[in-house]
Amino acid sequence: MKNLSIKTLDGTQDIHIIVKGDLSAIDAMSFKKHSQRLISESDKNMTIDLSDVTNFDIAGLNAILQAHRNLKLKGSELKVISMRNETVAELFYLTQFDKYLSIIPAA
Amino acid sequence: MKLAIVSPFPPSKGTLNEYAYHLVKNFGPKDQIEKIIIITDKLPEGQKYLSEPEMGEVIFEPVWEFNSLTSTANIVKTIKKHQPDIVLYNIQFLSFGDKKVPATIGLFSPVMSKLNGITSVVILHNIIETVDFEEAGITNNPVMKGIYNITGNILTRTILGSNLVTLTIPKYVKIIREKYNADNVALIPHGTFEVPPRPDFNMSSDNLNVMTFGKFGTYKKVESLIEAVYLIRKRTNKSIKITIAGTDNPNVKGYLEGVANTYSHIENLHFTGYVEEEDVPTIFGDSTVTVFPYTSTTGSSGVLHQAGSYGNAVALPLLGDLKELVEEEGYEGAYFEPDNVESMAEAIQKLIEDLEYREYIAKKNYAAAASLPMSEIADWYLSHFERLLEAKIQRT
Repeated sequence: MKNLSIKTLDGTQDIHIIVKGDLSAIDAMSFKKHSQRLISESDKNMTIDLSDVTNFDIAGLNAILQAHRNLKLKGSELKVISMRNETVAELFYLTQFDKYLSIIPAA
Repeated sequence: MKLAIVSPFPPSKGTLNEYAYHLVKNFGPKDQIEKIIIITDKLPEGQKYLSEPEMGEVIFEPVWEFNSLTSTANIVKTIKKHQPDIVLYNIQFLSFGDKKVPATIGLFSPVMSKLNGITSVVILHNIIETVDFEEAGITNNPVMKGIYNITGNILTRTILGSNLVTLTIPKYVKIIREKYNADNVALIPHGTFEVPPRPDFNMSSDNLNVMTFGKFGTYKKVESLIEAVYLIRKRTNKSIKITIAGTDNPNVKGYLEGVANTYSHIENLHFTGYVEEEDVPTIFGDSTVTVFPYTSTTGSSGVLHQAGSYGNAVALPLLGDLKELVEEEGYEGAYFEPDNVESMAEAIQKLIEDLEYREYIAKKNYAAAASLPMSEIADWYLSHFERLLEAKIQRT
């Protein structure tokens, strides 16, 4: 994960994951494994902060969707803090995931 | 959820048959899917639809035929009989026929399903806006091109009458949303049929096999590939097998037989005929390089995803925005000028001789394929289905 940084804060209410850099291709697969492990070990809600993600592709989006579906199956919820760079966030709009993911604009 | 899928299905040779097979195989194990009704084209007598235990409860309804005028009526009648929660159409513009009237009537079935109260979703594998009619072998007459464009626009609007249209390429979504002012269009990537265990990527200079896979004769033509490999053999003195895997496009019957006759003097040239599902891993596993000898493109290539999943290096034509589309999906290839034997030979030769380059492309393609398995693409569809059904409940 050369270009990706993941910081996980396990709070009392939810798990907060701060993702920075390149959430695409092989890095996105690593992130997917990481988030799936966290979801399988906990019943908490999850927030994924993508504010500082600079590169995002379909594999990255798939990792987010899988987290959403796995949390939903457990009765938990996912919140996504969107990227600061709107071009990077375009995939949410093209896939219409913006219609059913809980997406919060970046501060 | 009761799901109906309208599509050709193996062993039918209709286009997108394999895509439907893999969709069903991956929808079947999902907890949300109670039953799948496959509304499909009729088979010749004695043939049986391919079925796997993991598909779960599946009902085959062979009610339509390629180029039949009654396909839409029969599809809608079957949908009304089963009352599925969702009907999913796995189609392209010539799915229901290559004659104008039956092809057109067939494309009305998604909107007819919706008008009958069934939530209708279309996977549209190509869009008219990016088809080069001349290169695709449809027509080179400017008047006919204009007529096809107008008809294509009307048909696209008709298809957009369904609840949701999914497209496999980001650029296609942008084009359709903008041109038709449509907000019921979403990107769902093609996905990878099978993701086998990670190959060993042991690049070798022995047992060289240049392979192409598909339905040939229209915009996929193998002559330049045969000539390119012949050229490489002469230049390098290497023994290189040529494998043409697949069949004629249904619109160009007899094409491969003609090619086999023309190139009967070429040694080590193999035609596999129709490749059964169980033989696909062998075909790709034995291939050193997979080549796409296309003169036009009509969408995201299922073969590219298959090549990636088996860790194949690929040689691709520099056609329109194909390079951009391929790279957008995370894939990589050695590129050549379409229908240019010399350029294709250079691209293939580089992959054969430069083992490091071949390994780089093979690994990148495997990573791209492994990141989007079909089982997860099925989740993308389920997310949309659930949202559409929730919206329907709220409306009623």
